[in-house]
Amino acid sequence: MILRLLSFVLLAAVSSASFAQAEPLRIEITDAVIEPLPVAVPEFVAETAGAGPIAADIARVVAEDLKGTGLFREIDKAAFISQISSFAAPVQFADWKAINAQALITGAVTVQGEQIIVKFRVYDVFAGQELGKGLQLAGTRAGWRRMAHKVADQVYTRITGEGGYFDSRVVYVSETGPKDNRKKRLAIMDYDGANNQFLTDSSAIVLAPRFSPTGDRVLYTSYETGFPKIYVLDVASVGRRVLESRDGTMSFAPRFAPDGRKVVFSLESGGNTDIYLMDLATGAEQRLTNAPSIETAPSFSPDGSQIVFESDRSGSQQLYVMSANGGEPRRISAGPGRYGTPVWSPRGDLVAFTKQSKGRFHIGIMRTDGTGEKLLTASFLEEGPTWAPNGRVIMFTRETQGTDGQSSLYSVDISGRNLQRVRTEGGASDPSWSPLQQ
Amino acid sequence: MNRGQSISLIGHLGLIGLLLFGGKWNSDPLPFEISDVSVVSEAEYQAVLAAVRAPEAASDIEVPEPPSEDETSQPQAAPDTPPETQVAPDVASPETDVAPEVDTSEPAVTTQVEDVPPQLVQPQEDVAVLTPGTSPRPKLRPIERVAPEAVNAPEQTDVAPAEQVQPETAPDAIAEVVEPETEAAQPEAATTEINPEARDDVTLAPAQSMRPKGRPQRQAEAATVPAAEASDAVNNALAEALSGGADTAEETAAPAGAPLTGGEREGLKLAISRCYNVGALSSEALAVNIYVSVEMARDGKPVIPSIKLLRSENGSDAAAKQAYDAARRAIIICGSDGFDLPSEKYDQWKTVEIKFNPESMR
Amino acid sequence: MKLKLITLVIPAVLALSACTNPNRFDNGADGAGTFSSVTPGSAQDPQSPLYFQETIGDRVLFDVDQSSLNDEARRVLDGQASWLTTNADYAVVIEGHADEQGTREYNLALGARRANAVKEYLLAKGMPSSRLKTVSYGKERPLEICSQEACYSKNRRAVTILSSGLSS
Repeated sequence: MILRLLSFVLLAAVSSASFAQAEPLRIEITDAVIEPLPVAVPEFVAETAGAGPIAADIARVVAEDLKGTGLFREIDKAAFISQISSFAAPVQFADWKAINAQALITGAVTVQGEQIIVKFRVYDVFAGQELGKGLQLAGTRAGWRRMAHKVADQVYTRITGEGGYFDSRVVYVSETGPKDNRKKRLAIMDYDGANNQFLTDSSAIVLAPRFSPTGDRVLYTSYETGFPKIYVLDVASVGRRVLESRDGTMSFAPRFAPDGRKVVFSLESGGNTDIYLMDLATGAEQRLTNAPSIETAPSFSPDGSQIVFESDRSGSQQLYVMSANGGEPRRISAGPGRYGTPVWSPRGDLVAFTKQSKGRFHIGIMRTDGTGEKLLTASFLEEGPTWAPNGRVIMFTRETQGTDGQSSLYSVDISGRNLQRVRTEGGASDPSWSPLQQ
Repeated sequence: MNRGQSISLIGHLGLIGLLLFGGKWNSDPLPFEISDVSVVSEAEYQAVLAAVRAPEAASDIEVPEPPSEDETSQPQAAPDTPPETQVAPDVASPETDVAPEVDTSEPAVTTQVEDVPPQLVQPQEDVAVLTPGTSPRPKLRPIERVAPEAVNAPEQTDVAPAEQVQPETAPDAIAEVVEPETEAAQPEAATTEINPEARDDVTLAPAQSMRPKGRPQRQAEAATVPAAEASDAVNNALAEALSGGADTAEETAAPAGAPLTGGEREGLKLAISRCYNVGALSSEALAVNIYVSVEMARDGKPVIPSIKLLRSENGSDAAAKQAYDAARRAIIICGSDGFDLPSEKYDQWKTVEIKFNPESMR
Repeated sequence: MKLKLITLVIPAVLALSACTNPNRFDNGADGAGTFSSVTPGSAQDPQSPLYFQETIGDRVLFDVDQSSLNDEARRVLDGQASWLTTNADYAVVIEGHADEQGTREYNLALGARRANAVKEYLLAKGMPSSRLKTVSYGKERPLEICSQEACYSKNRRAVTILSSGLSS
């Protein structure tokens, strides 16, 4: 019996051996590391006389953009073995591998009067080949920073797969003075803090400016009449007009609809605050909520079909979603604590918010149905998130405690990593991030 | 008298009656087959199974591989990052949170081995590595430690295996049943085939041995062997052992020698994981599983042009490409000095298929 | 804070000078031996805004997140109502404020609730609504800035600001 079995098995073994090939070794990798990708950004080549400084500046801004994401680490130029002295010359990959550069950015700049041309290539060093195709950008000399940001956006997208966000601006409230006599004025700057300009003076309190979908206009709230009222300001001309000026009411917390033609905002009357929608061209208003509770801080979904807002109808501030024409709201915030200032991500997948819990403030995100709540930060006082154009980074206001308390802007990515301060001159609050500029 | 007492009385009487008169019901025992079975030491058993490819065996045995599952449930990397992450120490916290948990599971795995002996027992844990004898426990968990230390990992992990050598090995498990036989079992016995006629006893398959393996090998296609037709346990055991043998036979069609030990496989996985940097991947790319194949040269270096993406799951093509780029870099960068693989088994690792599934980082 | 006082007092005084009884200096001009020695416009002058602010009380305080009036608040507002009835030339702007323990928009709305609570009470006391306006400053104009409850409680307030009844 045994022998029979054994011989059968032997036969099976032998026969399978006869048409066996060596099977590939199969393994599964489930662990990984997260570290900044080492990248080399040598100075861009100056292809015309005198382009040296601007070529160096552009490369520097590209490197700073990448480093600022927390995902990249710039390799010190002192460590370079070979130099890029010609944009067209082939890259000696071995030299870059030797210093552990995993990505290499090369570029060249040509200056013709006030016009500049910037070329760049991205290389995957260890694969020994280009990543994507080289590109060339043309622009004015004065716009050199924007061109550098555009290069960085390309590099970032090619390596991470995410959309970029560097060629963008932030409008915010610039603050000076002591806490009990704060002077506030509207200001606009590049996302990295450069090119700061003021849009208003500080004669009246201004609050919470918000960009239009194309970045050409800004909505904000001003006390210049003695009462908070919403205004729209044209960024290029800095001209402004009041939108809602009914006597005996206050209006605030305005935001554009994705088509740029309507504004959703809060209107207060007789002590009660509700959400209204206004057509910018006609001024016609539609009331979207009608409740004795406080309804405020509305934000449109990027497809324009829904609005997320905060309401204390349940007894404490919570987040609700309703359809854009004001249907029955459904609550999406769940936990204990208070939720406010909701903002829909430009990718439509998440809502950022401010949460207060146990005496602390947090910036958090959740899915648009309220699940997946994740808190990204915590501090004594922080609020007012705004999304980067790629929906993966959030900027917000953080204020320090006490008599010398000051507000500053911070950014963090949605994984909670890379919390950093945005450099501004003096205090700053209420940031709003523009879309990627064209 | 209450019910309990009456039942008890009846029972006792019945028993006594049986004792006195029960002989009447004796009958001849049914015929049953007896196989000659001898108990072998773990070492010998391992010798016999020397060439068995772990994964195939695993698949035969429907191993649920719980440890790995348990372990994978931990990584909540990013989400649990405490709110106040101030800059740089990027990943440190999540990773370190994961590591400790993993370690504790290893001992648990080993104990299960005890259950085995007299019958074929579904091994509770990953059977994957039928390590012929002495291979040190592959250092599973350290893989996760690698992450936070990023660059420094190697030293640590290399040390790890050394720490962990034998103690949990099967020999203990089978201790109760084993009597060493004289057969000199060489762990990686050159016998690639199970040579059934070399002995006419069948080696019991003690629990396929559970090298406590945190990260089981999920071998997608195991070369399955004809299932045992034998009905009783012994025959099952035989078939099982021999199925291993059959696989072995397959592999040894090439002059490759023994299959890779668990330690060698783990070493390769570790080496690649160290360079598998997902920090720059979008969340969609992180969610994708990709299957990559690569040919290796004899010196352990990957043949770069041979790296290719076989297929992907759970994501768009663009996300898969992103994940593939990171995987490719991992293979190239950490393989640039050659992976540490035994040249005498070159045919075993000439072609490698790697599934990149960064589930612990999601 | 001082700035506010001064800016209130000066126009108030000027307004007063236009509105008050020209004979009020007839008695006790030398301040000696006469029965009325109140300095006009001072806090002792029951018709002065300073009196309104300091003696009657121009503000009421609220609990965290609340806009309801407690007994003390009602007492103060009773005094305000009667003063305003007597001094019918004044209109008021009721400012609602909140402490910093909240988000910006919500605090604006909360301040508005508080201001409105005061307004409703004064209306109930017979004040005509044409004399009452409300505004909210949310957390933008804290009085005390120490980031503790002792300061927060003073910031959660509704302040009744007198404005000349002749304007707007």
